[in-house]
This record gives sequence, C-alpha cells and structure tokens, in this order.
Amino acid sequence: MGRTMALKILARGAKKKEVVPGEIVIVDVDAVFMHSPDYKFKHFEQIGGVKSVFDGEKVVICPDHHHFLPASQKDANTVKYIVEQGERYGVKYIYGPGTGIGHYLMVEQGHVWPGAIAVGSDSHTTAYGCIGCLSSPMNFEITEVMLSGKAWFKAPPTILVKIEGTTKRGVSARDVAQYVLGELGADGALWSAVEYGGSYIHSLSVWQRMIFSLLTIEAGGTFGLVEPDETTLEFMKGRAKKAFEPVYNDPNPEYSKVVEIDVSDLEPQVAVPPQPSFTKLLAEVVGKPIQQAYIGGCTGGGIEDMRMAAEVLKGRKVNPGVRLIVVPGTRDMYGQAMREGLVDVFNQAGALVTPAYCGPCQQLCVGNLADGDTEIGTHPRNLPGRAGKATSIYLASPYTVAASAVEGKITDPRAFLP
Amino acid sequence: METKIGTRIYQGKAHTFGDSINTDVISPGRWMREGLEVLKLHTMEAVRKDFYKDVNPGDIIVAGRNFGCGSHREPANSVMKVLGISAIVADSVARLYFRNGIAMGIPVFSAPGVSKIVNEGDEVQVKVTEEAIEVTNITTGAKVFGKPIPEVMRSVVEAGGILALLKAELEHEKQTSL
Repeated sequence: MGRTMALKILARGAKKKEVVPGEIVIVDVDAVFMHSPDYKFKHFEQIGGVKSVFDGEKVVICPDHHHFLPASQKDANTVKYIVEQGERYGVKYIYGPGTGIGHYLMVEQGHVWPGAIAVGSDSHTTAYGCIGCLSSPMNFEITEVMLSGKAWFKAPPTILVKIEGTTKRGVSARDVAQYVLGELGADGALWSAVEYGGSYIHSLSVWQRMIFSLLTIEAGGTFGLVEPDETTLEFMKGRAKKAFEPVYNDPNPEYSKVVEIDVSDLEPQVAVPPQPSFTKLLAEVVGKPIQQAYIGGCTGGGIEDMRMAAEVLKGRKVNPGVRLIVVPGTRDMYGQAMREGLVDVFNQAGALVTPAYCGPCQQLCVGNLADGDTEIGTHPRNLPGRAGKATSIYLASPYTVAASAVEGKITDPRAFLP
Repeated sequence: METKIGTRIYQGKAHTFGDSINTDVISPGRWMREGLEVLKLHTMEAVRKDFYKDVNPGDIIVAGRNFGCGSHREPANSVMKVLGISAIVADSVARLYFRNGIAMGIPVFSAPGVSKIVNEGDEVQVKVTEEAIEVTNITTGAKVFGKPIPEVMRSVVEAGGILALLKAELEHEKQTSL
C-alpha cells in the first residue's frame, strides 16, 4: 500500500523518511495565520524577553472576525494594539480592514501552496487543503509556534470521500459538502485527515473545493485535503510567495475508510440547528419564516457564490421582512463582483453589501439577530450561543439563501433559476 | 523536556453533560469578551441555566462524545479554571479543545464509556498514569479506561501549561548566555 499525501507532507516537514498514523511528529511550518492575535501578544508580554516571531515572512495577521471596523472604543484600542505589536515583533503581513477573510486571503495571496504546512488560530484553518496544503487549526499553542516555527501533530489516518457524477441545476458545491458532512457526522473524522477526490471534486474551482476542506473541521478532522491537479497548478501560477514542490499520494494509498458518493440525484441540502453536521433535505424545512439572510463567510463569500446569489436575485426584490447581507470574501472578489455587475444586482434587490470580512457569522461586528429571529446563511457554523440567544440558524447554498431572502421563508431555489 | 512525570489524581463531584457540547455553549460569543468573571455566569447556559451556581471547587465535568467541538476559544478552556472545575473527562474530546486544554494546563481527558458509568452528583476520580487514564466512579465502584497521553504532553500539564514552559526556557537561555 502507498502513503497518503498527508503522511508524505508530514514526513517532509519533520525531515523523516517515513511517518506512520498515530505517531507524534514535530514539523517546521511554512505559514502561521492569526485572526485575533491580541492575546498572543499578551502571552509574549507574560513570557517576557520575546524579541521577534520566528520568521516575519511566515506570520500573517488578519483581524477579520472582530475588527473589520472598530464598533467600540475597546475594539479600536485592540486593533491599534494588534498593528503596533505585529510591527514590533516583525510580522510582515498585517491585513487591514476591508481586505477580507483570512482564510481566503491566505490562499489568494499565496501565503500557502500545495505541499506546504500551515497552522492557524481560527478553527476553520483546515481550509487551505483545497490546494493540497496541509493546514490545521491550533489556538493557545500558536504563541509557541510563532516563536519556534514548529508544531506537533499526531500523524492521522486518511478517510477518502470519493465523489462522482454531475449535480443537477440549482444544486451547488455547498449542497454536496453539506451532504458529505452529514454522512461523516460531527466526530466522524476525529484525529483523521479527510481527502476529497473523485471526478466531481476535480471538476470544481479551488474556491468551491475550499468549502469541503474547510468544513472538515465540523466533522472533527485534523486536515481536509484535495490532491493537486491541473486546476490547482493553474490557480497557483504566479501566486505563491515561495517556489514549491507539490506532494501527491503514492499510487494505491492506504485509506482508513472510503466513502463513495454519487451526486447525480442529490437534492438541495440544509444544515439545521443546533450544529453544522445536522444535514437535512431542504424540502423538510421549506416554509420556515426568516428575518435575516447572509451570503458570505469563509464558505460562501467567493466570487462563484456571489454569482449564484445574483442569478436568483436579478430583477427580484428582497422580502421587506428580511435583511439580506452580502459580504464578499476578499477585496479582489469584491472588485470582481463590481466589474461583473453583481453588486448592482444586490443593491437593486435591496440587499446590504458590506466590505470584505467575516460578516455576521458570529455576533462580533454587525448584523446581530434579535431574540427569536431565524437566519439562513452560507457561513460555516450554526451553533447555539453563536449569534446571541438566537438558536435558529440554518446553513445552505447561495441559491437557497437568495431565494429564501426573496420569499421571506426558507425556499427551494430551483423555481427561481432558468 | 526530560521531566519524569508521576501519577496525578483528580477527584470531585461530577456534573454530567451530553454529546457535542461545543465551545459556543461553553463560551457564548456574546459574553466571551466581557472577561472570565462575566463569562462564567453564562457558561453552558444554552443547555443548563445557572450552571455556575452548582459548581464547587474541585468538581469534575463528565460528558459524552466530542466535548469542546466548534470554534477555537481560549476562554472555553480558561473559564473552567475560573469556575473551579479540576478536570474534564469525556467519551471523546474534540482535537482543538484537547490541545488547548493541555497547552493551558487545564486537564481534559478522554475515556470512552465514561458517560455511561457516571450520574450527576457522583464522586469521581481521574487517575493519570503512564499506562492509562483511569476513571473510577467512587459512588458506584464502576471504572473505565482511556488511552494514556504522551509523556511530552503530560510534562506540559505538569508545568501548568506551555507559557510556563516557555518562560522557563527563555530564563534558561538568558542564564546560559550570560
């Protein structure tokens, strides 16, 4: 049996010939992403005597969650502190307000590449697996990684999710990823890597693949990966901050489990409260009234997501009882949406379009829900407590969210598409 | 770290929770930034109101599968210390919550089956040795075992977290460079 790409990348990072599942390995990291580094810098103060991060080129700060624009004196001071301290410790890349969601930026701006090893303080840091980068979240330990450039991993077995077929009109990558997550379950990939393969996955763009790699964390996985292909290499042209050597699976790699899925007859899916892995057929919740709809987040702010939403919204109006918030993933994606006329479609439909950041995924900036409100969105998470007292959050494709915003209730989008 | 780690024992009254207790439940986003003293009043409120009123120093949380899944949140670990929880043991623990717990020196362990042998209010003992995580229900005598955690991680827990270790290492560097 051959080795999986996850084990091969770890072996390379640990400068070892072979790594076996279950082994604890210490690897050099190529990138560290931080979304709210203020308390990491406080850790530096607590430790005392810290002069700089291990390599300023490899540390990236993007305060995308809390501080898109400071909403209070406290936030304003925090943002100032983050920038000052980042500069003090030699961090080269500090993304300012409106530049976008860190996970999109890490890939878009070439901070990661096929075969790289990256860690991040945000739990959705499994995202960069969409280009074949081994990426995984850490949190408290990031302080240490920032100083040493090293991280430990328990080498994981790999679950292969092999997806074949072509989806029907109105069924998007989010529907497929949501279905897969439901099949894996909230702890179905605990301490494992998940590789997404098959002709369906390889037909998708890098950004649509990212929905799969990113949502791996909602199944408890350590890594979510797509083996690099021509699409990946084309996407990477001129992008990576460093020359790189991609890592591929050996022929006939050893998987701990293989899940085979055919999407030819798949119907639109939805995640119902209280957790992202609670997948149902959209048809089961159609008709549920909503007060807020959200197109954005690290699983729905891509240019293709905005195109899907615009397809539904073109020439239509958002229901007066609903707030529709559209948040592009990055400034570049925002620019592209403007050039394609999508922003005009959203504006005319009565949606709010904001600069690029994490949006109302959590109640940290704007778009808070009132008590008892229901929201449907393209973002990754719907856990209770996440948006105040509101426990009624549904997750679905951009088509479904847009159609629901028009109708004021959860709606099957297929009637809205030509 | 060449520290030899001995046996460690935690004992206290159990508070039981179900499966998939996530970090939004443990550390609700709305209260997270108000400081731990405020946050602790809201910990677990989505599933158990006023949990903090029931907790006495040294108590142990016993939970089902995938404890601590969801967002990365240091407060979701550190609030346990402020509440007075001495250890958490669950059928399984989400990877991030586990790593954070170890790194912060707040003990969190997995022992499959523990949720089946413990009821609310039972006296529970968690024994951490080189060979296993041994959980005993003192009230009923029932026992379950979890896989041991690696030496390197036990030394972090012992030191009280990675910050303490880093500080010690930097001190050591300073001493040797003089």
